[in-house]
Amino acid sequence: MTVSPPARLPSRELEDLVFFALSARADLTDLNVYPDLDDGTRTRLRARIKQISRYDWPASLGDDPDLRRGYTLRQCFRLMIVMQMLDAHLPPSLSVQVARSNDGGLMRLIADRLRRHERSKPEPADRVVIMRPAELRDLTPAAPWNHKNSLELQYVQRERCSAIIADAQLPGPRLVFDFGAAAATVWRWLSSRMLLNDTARTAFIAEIDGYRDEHDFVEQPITRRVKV
Amino acid sequence: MIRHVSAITLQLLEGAGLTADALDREFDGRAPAVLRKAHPMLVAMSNAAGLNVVQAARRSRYLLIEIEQHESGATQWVYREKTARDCIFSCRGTLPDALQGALEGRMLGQLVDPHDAISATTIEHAVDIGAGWLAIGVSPRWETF
Repeated sequence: MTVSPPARLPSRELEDLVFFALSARADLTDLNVYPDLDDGTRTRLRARIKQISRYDWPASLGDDPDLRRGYTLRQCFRLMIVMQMLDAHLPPSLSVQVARSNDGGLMRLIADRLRRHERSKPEPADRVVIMRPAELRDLTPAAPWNHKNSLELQYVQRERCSAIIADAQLPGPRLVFDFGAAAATVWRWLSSRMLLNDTARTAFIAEIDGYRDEHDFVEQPITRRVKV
Repeated sequence: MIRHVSAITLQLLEGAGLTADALDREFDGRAPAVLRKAHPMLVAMSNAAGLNVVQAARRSRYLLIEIEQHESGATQWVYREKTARDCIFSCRGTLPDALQGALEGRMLGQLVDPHDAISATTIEHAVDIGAGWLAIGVSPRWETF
């Protein structure tokens, strides 16, 4: 019995995927799974997707020869993450770097959200991602904040999020991303339209869970911004 | 120039008072050659047939259609013509392993009855794709126009 290849989302559906990722809310009730995007919007979204693919994101053709057939669920989520960062005006090269080096943690966050039904209400234990970029502060000589990697992502529970953001002792800006809500909305769209079967979700969760046990899986944290 | 359209798409077009030619012309100048649910022709086809036609595409001179039928919020079945040789009908159900090979050559209508033209397709293979769903590879009749 051969293992069947993972189901893939055809590339013509990617614009819709990005739309749902960008417009997702944690407390979404109704979802119109057939958004009426005009041609101009589709062209612009497609251009961004193509721009990101030039960074070999979510994968390169060398790593995944079947990429031409479409994206696996994991690759869909990788794209989703970078698109949300672009939405925050982060540059593409930086977004891909951050997504790449935090891939394990981000996928775990998404897998945890997908374990619950996609339509379930947001829970206090849901985690959001806080990024505290320090592009200019990193250039200044050793300062109190330089003890921590400025591009490392923090995973905090939603209810603790405001405390961290409002923390009077923290310098610099904070960006908050709700990748869990975006993933739930994207999955809700995919499963409502039967574009991917539920086995894709369970396979994704199983694959991510499996990585917890790999002793040699090491995430490479990025220590400083590399000019690409 | 020989162009192809499936018997299913033809039936939907006829029901809405449209021709394959008219549909084909909609694709000219579009890149990618895809019409989506909100397109007036697809809306007309959907309303006339009581189905949810979500997409029409043109690839290598074949007009390809995709239908996703929902009922009370849940998907009942989907019919996707991905390429001329790869058309899938997907619905809920389970199939004992022994039957999966035995269905080849039968009409889809002997298993399920979604809609006249779709039921008249021939089964090529049937696979249990998990989570209580089946994916049945079917081949419709292709007409030229």
